[in-house]
Amino acid sequence: MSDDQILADLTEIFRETFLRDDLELKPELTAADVEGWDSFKHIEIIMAVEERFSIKMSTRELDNLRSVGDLLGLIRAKSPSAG
Amino acid sequence: MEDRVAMTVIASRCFTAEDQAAFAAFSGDHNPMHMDPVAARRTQAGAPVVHGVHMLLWALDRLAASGLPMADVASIAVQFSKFAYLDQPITLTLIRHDDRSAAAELARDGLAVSTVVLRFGPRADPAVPRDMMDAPDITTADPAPNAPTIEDIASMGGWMAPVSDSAAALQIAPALVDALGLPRVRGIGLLSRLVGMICPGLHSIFTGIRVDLTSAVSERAGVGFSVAILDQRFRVARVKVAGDGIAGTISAALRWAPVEAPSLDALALHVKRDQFAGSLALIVGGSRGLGALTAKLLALGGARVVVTYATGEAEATALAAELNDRFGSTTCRTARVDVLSDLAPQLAALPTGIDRMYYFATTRIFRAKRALFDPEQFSEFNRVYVDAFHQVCRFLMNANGSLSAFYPSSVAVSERPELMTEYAMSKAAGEILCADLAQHLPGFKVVAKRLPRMLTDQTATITPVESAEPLGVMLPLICSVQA
Repeated sequence: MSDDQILADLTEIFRETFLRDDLELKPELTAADVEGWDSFKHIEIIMAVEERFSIKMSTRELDNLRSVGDLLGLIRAKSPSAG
Repeated sequence: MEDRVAMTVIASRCFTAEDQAAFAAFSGDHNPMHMDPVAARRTQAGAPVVHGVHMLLWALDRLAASGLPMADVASIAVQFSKFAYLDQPITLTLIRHDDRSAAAELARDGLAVSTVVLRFGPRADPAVPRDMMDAPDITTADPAPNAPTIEDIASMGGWMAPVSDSAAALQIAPALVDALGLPRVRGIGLLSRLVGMICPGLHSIFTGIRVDLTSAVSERAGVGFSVAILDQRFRVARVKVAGDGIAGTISAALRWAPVEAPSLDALALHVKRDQFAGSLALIVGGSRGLGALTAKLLALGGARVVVTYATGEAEATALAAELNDRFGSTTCRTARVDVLSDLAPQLAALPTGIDRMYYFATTRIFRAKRALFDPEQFSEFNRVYVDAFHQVCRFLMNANGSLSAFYPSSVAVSERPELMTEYAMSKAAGEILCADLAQHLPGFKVVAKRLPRMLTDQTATITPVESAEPLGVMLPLICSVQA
């Protein structure tokens, strides 16, 4: 799975989570850039990511996520179909 | 597809306690977070909150009345992102609308508390799953919600029969009943009952709904449910729902139960019987949390205490009864002291001879806000953490000639967590006041300590946060104040 494909899937997840069809994701995007991206929304995103990519993330891995790019990198590293 | 409407304010209203009662009767959701000010105070919300589904049905009703083609709605997605409180104006804004969908926002003080997205199109007609259709009716001991354990929640399922008649639905959302039909309105209302009363029940927060409106309504009246996902790491449940012309999932967070102070027996191991004997301590805000813990430790050490409360009279009375039963009837007195109202007469009613004062008065700390700095919030924090503290100290100094006080500052002053600018500023001001009072008032001593985050009702979050253990933090500080 390419980074572009992961980003496309992430975009879909973010749009569903925030109920915003206009949300455009970039790797440098952080929680501070998206209104409503609080700790609870973060959990919803992580759960949706785990379901979509069939992966599990540890608490330590989640603590290190600072941006969409971090999340993308973690998915790439853990996803069985990534490469 | 062009937007036909952009950012149109549709309606505005406040939700009152009477409105809550009407919605509870309609939906069957009597969760104390909505209905009981004392119980709600011990949740993260800090005060009774409006049922999310109540706001949703009002929003859909007003959208229907405004001419939005609700009869063409095929699905509804909702997120409840912030608490909305009683008697605060809530504004409904249609933020976009085209042939395929519409989005609306509910906001208080310009801050979005809920977003609703409607999709238009043909409705599907999935059958209600057989296991739901055959599931037994779930009962609750209304108005008390069920309180299943997190382990029990994982396998929960059942059927909710309607709890009210058409008159109740027409009172809540008349135009919506006309547009969607009674069963769908009733079914959406039952989702509130599901979360607040059944699954997760008592300690829950409703966070979202995604349902399709089905073209047919099942024969069995009501809504079935079955837990699809329970994530114990994040304490989040997703529940499938079907029936009454709706089918989809809801999501809910599992709140922690209110934090209780350790028992006297557990604390007795840490305090010598006469360690604090001869002292009369005033504990401002002592009915729960760190205040209640301090009262117990002082009483175990032989001190007498006056525990004040602003709203938690029942908790303060129960604490006093526990201490007086164990240590004698003069150990603990209670007094109502609301630091946000005129303090002078309240302080004048306190007993004489108070030589120690522990100041745990607080207001709601964690609040949603739009701007970096909110002057009103800062002003309220200052009234509680600076002005009232000063007034209590001055009064006791005048009455007794000397005083040893405890001022709970916060690591927020140095760690500066996001969105807590006003709180950190106010606590910093309190520290400066303490230092100057100690320097200029003969006979006044104060221990002002930046407390770490400890597990209390206000700090109990859904997500895991590292918290210090209250006993280990408070006992050495109490020893310093009593020395």
